[in-house]
Amino acid sequence: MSRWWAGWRAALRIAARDTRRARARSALVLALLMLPVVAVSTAAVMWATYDVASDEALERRVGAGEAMIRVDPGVTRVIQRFDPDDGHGQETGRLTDPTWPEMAAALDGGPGDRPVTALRDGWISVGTSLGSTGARAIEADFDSPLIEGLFRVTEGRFAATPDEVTVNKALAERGPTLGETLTVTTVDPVTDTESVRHLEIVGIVESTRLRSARLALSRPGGFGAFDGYQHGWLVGGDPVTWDDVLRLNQVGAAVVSRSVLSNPPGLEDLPEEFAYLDDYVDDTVLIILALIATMVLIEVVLLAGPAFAVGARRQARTLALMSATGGATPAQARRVVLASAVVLGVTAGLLGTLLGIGVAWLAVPAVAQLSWEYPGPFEVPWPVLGVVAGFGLISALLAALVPAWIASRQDPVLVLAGRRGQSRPSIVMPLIGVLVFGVGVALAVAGTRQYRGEFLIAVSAIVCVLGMVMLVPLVVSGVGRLVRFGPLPLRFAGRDAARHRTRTAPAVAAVAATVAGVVALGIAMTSDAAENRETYQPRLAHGWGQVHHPGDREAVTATIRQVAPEAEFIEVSTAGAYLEFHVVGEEYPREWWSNVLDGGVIVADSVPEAVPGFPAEHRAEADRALTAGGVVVLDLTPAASGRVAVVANDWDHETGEMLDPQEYGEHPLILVAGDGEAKGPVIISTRLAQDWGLDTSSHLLVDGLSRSQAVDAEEMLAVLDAGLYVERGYREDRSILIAKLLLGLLGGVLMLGGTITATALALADARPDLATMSAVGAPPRTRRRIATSYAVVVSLTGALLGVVVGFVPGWAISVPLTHFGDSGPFFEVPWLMIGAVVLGLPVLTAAVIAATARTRLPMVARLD
Amino acid sequence: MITDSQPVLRLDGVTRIHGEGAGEVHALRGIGFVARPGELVAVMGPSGSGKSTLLALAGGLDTPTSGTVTVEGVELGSLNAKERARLRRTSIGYVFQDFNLIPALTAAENVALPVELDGVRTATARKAARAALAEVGLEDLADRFPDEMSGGQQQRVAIARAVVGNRRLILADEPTGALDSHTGEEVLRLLRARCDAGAAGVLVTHEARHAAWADRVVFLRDGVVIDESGADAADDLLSGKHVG
Repeated sequence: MSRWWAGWRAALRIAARDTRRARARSALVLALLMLPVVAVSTAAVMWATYDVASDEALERRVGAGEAMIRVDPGVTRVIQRFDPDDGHGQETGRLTDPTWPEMAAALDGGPGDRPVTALRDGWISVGTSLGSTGARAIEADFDSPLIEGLFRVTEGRFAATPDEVTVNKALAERGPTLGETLTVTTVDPVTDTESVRHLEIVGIVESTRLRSARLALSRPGGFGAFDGYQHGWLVGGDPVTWDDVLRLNQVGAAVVSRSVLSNPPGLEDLPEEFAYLDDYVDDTVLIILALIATMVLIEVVLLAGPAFAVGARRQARTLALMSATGGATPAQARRVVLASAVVLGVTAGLLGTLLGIGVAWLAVPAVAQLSWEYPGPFEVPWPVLGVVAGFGLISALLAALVPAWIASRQDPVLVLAGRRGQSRPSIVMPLIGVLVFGVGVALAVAGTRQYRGEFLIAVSAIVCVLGMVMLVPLVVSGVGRLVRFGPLPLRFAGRDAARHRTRTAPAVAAVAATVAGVVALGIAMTSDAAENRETYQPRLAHGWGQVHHPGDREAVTATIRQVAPEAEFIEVSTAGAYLEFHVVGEEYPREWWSNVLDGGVIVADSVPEAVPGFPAEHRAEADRALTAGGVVVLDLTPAASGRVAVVANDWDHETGEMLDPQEYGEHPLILVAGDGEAKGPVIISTRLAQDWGLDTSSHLLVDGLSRSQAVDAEEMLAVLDAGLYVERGYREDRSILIAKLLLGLLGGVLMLGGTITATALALADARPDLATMSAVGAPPRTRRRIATSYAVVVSLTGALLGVVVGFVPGWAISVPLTHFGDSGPFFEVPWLMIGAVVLGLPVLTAAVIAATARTRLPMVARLD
Repeated sequence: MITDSQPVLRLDGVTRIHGEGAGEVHALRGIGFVARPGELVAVMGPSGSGKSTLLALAGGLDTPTSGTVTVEGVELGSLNAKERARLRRTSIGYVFQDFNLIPALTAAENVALPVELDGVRTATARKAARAALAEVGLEDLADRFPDEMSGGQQQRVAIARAVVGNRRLILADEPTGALDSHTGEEVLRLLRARCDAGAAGVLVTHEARHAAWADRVVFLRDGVVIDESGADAADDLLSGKHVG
């Protein structure tokens, strides 16, 4: 034990001194190692604090009671997780309101002396200064000691009679406040009649759990009969066990039990339905978390790597001296470099965790302002944070691994003579790299051919990146040769980068890994958008609108005409029947599915203008066919014959039983190839629909609304409970654009970080060379030009490599993402974004470096 | 071979004080110094006597606290950093004890550096560099990196870099310090030849036999010129006869 420690003692002492001496470099490494630790520990503390399932939040859910028993309207049976708010299912069919004796029978086998208080929970409409708004309403006996902990009076007092009410701040801000009258409109769910009550506001009372939801509290009967109310009982007495919960579930109650949540039984006690889901969710979440952690680890290791490489090289002389004068072994040399990783990693882990706790402590109140829920008491999950802090140490050790290995292999004679031979890049490493990259590609290909292949593809992305990391040194020394004919600053930067591969390669790899991620996700998003665009099925011809729930059609048309006097209206009927179309001579019925007019069969004597994608030149022919009793369909696939047999498959809407198929005979069929991708719908004439006895419904369609008119009309129609949809063709989701921008931003920040790190380290390293240049007359701007060239070399090399690597998982993930049945896969490359990443970001990075680099060359005559 | 023409380097009443207050160090105290075309001046003196400071001031790498430094008739104090850099590229050549070649550049590129930095086309600069390398007998090693050369070869490359583009002032700071005596003589012979061809040379050294290559020896102690004489007197100076 003592010997083991002795081996490390000297190494750690040297490392600690070195860390203090090279302050700037140590700070840089600390920052890089700490960032993920801070982020994850902040998230962990926030999560623990907000985790309402944890038992310290129980008081807010069951007050001073043992359990909250809740029955939703009409529910006869429930299956639930230990916490029903994490998931529960219900069967309905109850016609009468649940009662306490019913619950007591399930809970205790009969009415006992268990303390209980009833709550009713539902929605009401309350008058506000502007009109009316919805609010959650709870009726309860607020004198019951069981309720303690559920609510908090901030002003006034609880309601004492059914004519009094308290509101929370969120509701008071919208309507009447303390001392005023609250007008409550409720709907009787049985008679469907509205009743209006006026209640005096006697207090401002907050729920201890819900923050932003509007809330009104009164005594039982205060809100009258109200809509969709839930019955609840808060019970005290003996603890409510999981078996009690399961029995209560059988009578339709979902139960939040203090004892069950404080001491959950084993997962095997969960209802089967949830047990299966739990496994699935856990696996998925774990795999995703592991993948994210791996990517973050790779990125951090690569970003911190150059600093360790520089540190190890700076220590080269010390190590050579140790070896020459003290007989230090390679293992001891390795330990000196690794020890600095231990010092920095442990510091980063501890500092980062503490910082994370601090950030979370500051953030909890701020986040509470935005959340609908009150956070729990501040909680620090120490075991989780221990693991997170360990992450700092592991990433530091990994980052120092290669520099340590190289340090242990250096030739002390050469180092002490001040000559380090420019070692040629090993060919073994790149070969392994190619092999690993190949495995990554193979995994990606396998992932495209497998169910749930996304995970395999995500793994392949990591494998590809690892393979690339091994190839980077070779690429960097290639760049060193490539810059031979470039201008002096570029030549110097490129050669210097190649000479100090242990420093340059991780930085280039960090940039490449970032770009690979951005490119892969970019391809995935663009391909997904391409799929949406290509498979987009318009519901109407471009510019046409459909009024949903038109109700009073005259009022609707009048309203729309107010904003758009020129608007034209037509009515188009569809049949709701389930019709099967058998083309004569074909084995299977055709699937003519359409998005038009809610998917119904259109009943019309001429093709309505509003049908999307119907070519004008076929209109006359189609109209003739309709008059002649034919069936007209937009379809690209040719038919075996010109006739179609129609069969109705319908069921009795009262009993739900299937009716015997009804045959409507054979009819002439006209298939029209639609413009673009428009598919369906089927159109039949009114006479045919009458002959077949089909029920039809009429749709109100409108043409000629501008975008702004449509927005205005939609708002005005809302008053009539009507909706408006206007077909404008496929439009890219704004969120995709935002996601792409965020992706670009994140990529930019990481790229900038990697490049600036590498450039700063390179410039510090090149100080003697810069001083020499100054002595032979380099103008002051030379330093800036070299810095900029260095940034270009690192970021451009990284970006180009990253694009190549990113294409593999990008292409692969687009397959499972956009391939469904016959449709897809779609593959689209976001060239603009890639261009921005490959050219734009290096230019930006170089510009940032050029703007911030000092121009002053070191003025030292004697340069040791 | 001393000429009476206009001096290439002239220092008048130059004082250089490093640091402030208690930490104040007087590196040079009001010295005068002249180097004329065709003249090689050796500067000798113990450690800390101000030899290197004198060289740094002469090369415009440092600025005097008071006094003037004039190179080819131009007073360095009147130039900004950019103009001083230009002067170093075109008029002044530096040779260091540790060679100070840039390891990322080949021999030819190292020699071409001042010319290239001056904005001359790369091909032209290389041509000039090859000529300078030929002068020091290293034409064959033009494409080698410093790591691949011996110390003597590296110093010859450094001399080639100091003379490329016909610079008239060569400042050498212990150029033989890192070399064996034979190679050191070789390097000094090159320096001497360059001065004979018309350049002014300043050679900082603490070895009397190297000072023997010089036309004149200036002896510094504690930032003051304590003697200035022909090379013959160097041994006497070193033995301390004239000190005091």
